[in-house]
Amino acid sequence: MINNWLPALILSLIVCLVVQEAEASLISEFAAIDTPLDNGTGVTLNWRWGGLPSEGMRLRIERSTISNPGQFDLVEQPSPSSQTLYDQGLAADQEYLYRFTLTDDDHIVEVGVSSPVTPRFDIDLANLEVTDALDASGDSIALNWQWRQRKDLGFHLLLLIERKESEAEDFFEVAKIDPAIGSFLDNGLIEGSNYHYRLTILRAEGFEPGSARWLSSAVTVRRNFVFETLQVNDIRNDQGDGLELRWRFRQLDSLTSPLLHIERVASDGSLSKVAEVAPADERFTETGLTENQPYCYRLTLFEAGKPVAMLTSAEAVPVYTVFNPDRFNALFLFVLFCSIVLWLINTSRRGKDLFIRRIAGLNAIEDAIGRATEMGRKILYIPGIMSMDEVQTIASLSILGYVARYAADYDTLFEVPNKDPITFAAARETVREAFLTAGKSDKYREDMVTYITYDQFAYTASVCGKMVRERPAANFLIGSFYAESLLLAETGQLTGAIQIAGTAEVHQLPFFVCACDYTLIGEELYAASAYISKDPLMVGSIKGQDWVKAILIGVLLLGVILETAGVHWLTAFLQAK
Amino acid sequence: MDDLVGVWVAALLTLGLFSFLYKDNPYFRFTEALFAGISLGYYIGNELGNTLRPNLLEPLRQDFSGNLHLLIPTAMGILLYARYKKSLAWLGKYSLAAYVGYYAGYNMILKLHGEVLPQIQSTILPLNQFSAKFFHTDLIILIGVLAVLVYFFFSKEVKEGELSSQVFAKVSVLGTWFLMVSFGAAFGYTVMARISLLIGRFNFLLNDWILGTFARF
Amino acid sequence: MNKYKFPLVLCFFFGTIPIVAHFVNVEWVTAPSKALNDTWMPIIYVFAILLGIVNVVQNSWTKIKRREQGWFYAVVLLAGLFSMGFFGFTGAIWDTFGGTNLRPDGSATPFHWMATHMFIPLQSTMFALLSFYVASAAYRAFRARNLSATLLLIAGVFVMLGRVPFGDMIFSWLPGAENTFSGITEWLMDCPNAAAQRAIMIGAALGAASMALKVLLGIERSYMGKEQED
Repeated sequence: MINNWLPALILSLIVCLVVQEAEASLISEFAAIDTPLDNGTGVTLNWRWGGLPSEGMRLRIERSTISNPGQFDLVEQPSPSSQTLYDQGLAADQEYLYRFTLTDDDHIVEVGVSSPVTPRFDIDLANLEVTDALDASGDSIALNWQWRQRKDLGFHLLLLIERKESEAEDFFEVAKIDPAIGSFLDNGLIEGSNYHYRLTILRAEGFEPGSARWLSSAVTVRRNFVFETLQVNDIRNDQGDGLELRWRFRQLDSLTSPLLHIERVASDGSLSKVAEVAPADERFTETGLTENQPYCYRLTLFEAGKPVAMLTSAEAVPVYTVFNPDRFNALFLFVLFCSIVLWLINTSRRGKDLFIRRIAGLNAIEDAIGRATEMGRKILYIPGIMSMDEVQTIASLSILGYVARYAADYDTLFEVPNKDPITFAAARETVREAFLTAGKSDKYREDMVTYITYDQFAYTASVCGKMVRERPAANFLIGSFYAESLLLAETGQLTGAIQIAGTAEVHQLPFFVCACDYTLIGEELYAASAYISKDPLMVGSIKGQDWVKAILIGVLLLGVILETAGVHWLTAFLQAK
Repeated sequence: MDDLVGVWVAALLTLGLFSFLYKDNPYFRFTEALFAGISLGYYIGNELGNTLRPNLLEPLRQDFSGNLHLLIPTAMGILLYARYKKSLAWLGKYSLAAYVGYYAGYNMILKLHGEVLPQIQSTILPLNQFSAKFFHTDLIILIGVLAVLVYFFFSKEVKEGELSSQVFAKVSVLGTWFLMVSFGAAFGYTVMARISLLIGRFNFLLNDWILGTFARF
Repeated sequence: MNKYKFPLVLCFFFGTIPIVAHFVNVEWVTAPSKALNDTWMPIIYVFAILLGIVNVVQNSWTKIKRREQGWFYAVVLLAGLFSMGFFGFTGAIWDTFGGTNLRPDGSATPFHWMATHMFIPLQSTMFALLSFYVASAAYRAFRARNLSATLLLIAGVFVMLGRVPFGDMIFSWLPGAENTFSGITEWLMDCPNAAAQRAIMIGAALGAASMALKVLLGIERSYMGKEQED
């Protein structure tokens, strides 16, 4: 009998052990813990899977709250071998219970329940903004976030900031910083490139599984503005109390409200506000300073109330000078010019060498007046539209005197419509004296010189109407003209008048050249009075001009040679300031 | 309604001036005369309000004794009217002389410092650059400036058989060519700008006047 | 010194002030120069404008009185002058009728209304007439009569074509030549045109300086009627 039950006992024990062993290797150590380093909405479930893979095996994880322990809701049906599940979106500080059910072909194999777990708030990183930083260098991206942390966390945390340029690349570490800082500026990037960022919370000692992680979308970095080269210079030609600040600013991106704060930096480093200006001004003048005292400035560029860039100047000292050294070149030229012209005027007094080359327009004056006389029609002389503050008008009145004298000599009808009142007053004197000189003062009439109106285009309309109605035989358009030049010249051309024009306005010369029979170009206008009168003093001044021109040509060629040799003092000397 | 009246007035006056393109006619003459009168009236208001009042009337009103010096230009301005009395006409020349003299001095220094120096300085450039821009632009500018400056020499007589005269004459002709190219280019450049002004007026006539009137009724 | 020579002295005196002030930074020089420029000369100028207006009124009145040809238009001129002038004068001096600008509520004063609906449209129209005149001037002037005229014609045509899209379309079929005309336009404006303009400016500036010097020294005095003192 003993021989029969002993092997059975041993066999039962073995079966029990095998069965028990089989039972222990499926789901064990099922536990739910508060997910570490999260914002209190997550629970991590862990279990050990000891079973063999089976196609029919299913694991079902359910959850209930302590307040309603019988009601389990499905969380997920993970693979039994995954051994970890993160349940998120829970309510912080609320107790939860988890149950797992292992089935095999719908037959329940095992069931288990975890101990209650309460997810707690540990950390939270919210409102993450990753944007191109407002800068002039176009190489920075700014990361900003709001950080909250449980006070009794018990350990230090780090925020790992990683970056990659394209989707295909891996993230690489940029920085590890204290997340409580709330912001990070990533510099040294390439303008125009797109970057992706990943932020991960770490325990200071290493990576914590289930730690929070955030990803940004691609951000393009670019230059938003140019803000550079601040210079502070003494204002020359003042009372020694002014400095001028100059900087360079260009807006490359849309800025909502850029503002520049200008502050004076004292020797002790303290700042005093001077002004708030628009950065696009690029210039600011401060007066009322103390002579011979050094001043230093700091310019801070604000955008939407936040400082985004800063420039600090070198020291500058306001100085009073009786003579402005920057204008020495102008003084030199002025003295040279006056000396040469006066010398040649003096030389010409003796009647020596009075040659002036032929100027076709001036030769044609007498012909034009003769034509008008033969046709019995009038001469129209337009002395420009500017006042006597313009030298061209003075030159025009000089020619007017001669034209009026010819007209007086030939008894030709003559009219001078004026746009400017002072020119009108001077023209009257000129024409009256011309008739007096010609011995025809009885032929002079006040209405020869009339005032039309002060407006440029009203004057033009009136004169054009006069040209078309009265059909003068000869038109003189000599002086300073602007947009109305073509209107006057072309109307005169259409009426068949012979037209002699002259102006130093570079932009109106093409119209006169195209529409008039003769045109005095620039300097020829000023040479006219000398040419017509042959007066030695006048001719002497023309020769003086030519001499100065020759000297300037020499200076030009010398400058070219020096510049070619790398010597710049002449170009620097000629710089007009 | 006020606006509509204004648009009609502006449109009719616009057409009045445009009628000049056909020929001189009473409509144009009316518009021309009205233009002259209105412009004078406009500048009465403009000059009195922007010049005389802030520079003379207000300072004298506020502090007469402290601004007595302003009576000098006032007197000089009134002297211009002396020409209406023959025996006093010579007084008018004093104001004219002061006005012309001041601006002669002003312009003299302005021209020398503000035009001659910068133009000379900007024309100077080194000849050892050997870039494409140097050859097709900078060098030609230098040659052009020199040639046109030579063209404007008045006191140099061109004598037969004299080498310097012949060179001078040839360079002067080159200067003339530069001038002609410049005038042609500048003329062509402004053509489009002028056309755009016309488009602006046609736009007003069509949209503001014709279509605007229909829209109102 | 007689009364005819004294203006020349005045001319010289007033002319040297801005010249000295340009170089010498001394209060008793710069202050008068600034005062002359900012205050004195503008005041003299305003009185001169009134002188011109007096002349216009005189001439127009004479025309109307004598019933000369076109006297009706003189009436129109005076009507425009007095109506606009009345509102301008009273508005500028005493701010009557709301002054010369817009009222605080944005409504137009009579002066402003007339300026906006009469004066400015007339100015713009005259400006617009330029387009017709520029076409007729181009049509007549762009003729290859001689070498100079041919150069003018060629440069003008190139620049005109280069300023419109049509110009570049001409060579758009050639690869790489799409911007031919606009490129030539740019070169013509930046190179020969700039060179000629620079030289004209230098010459004209020297001429103007010489003329100004002659005025200051009394050599050039045609504006005063120089024969008076002979």
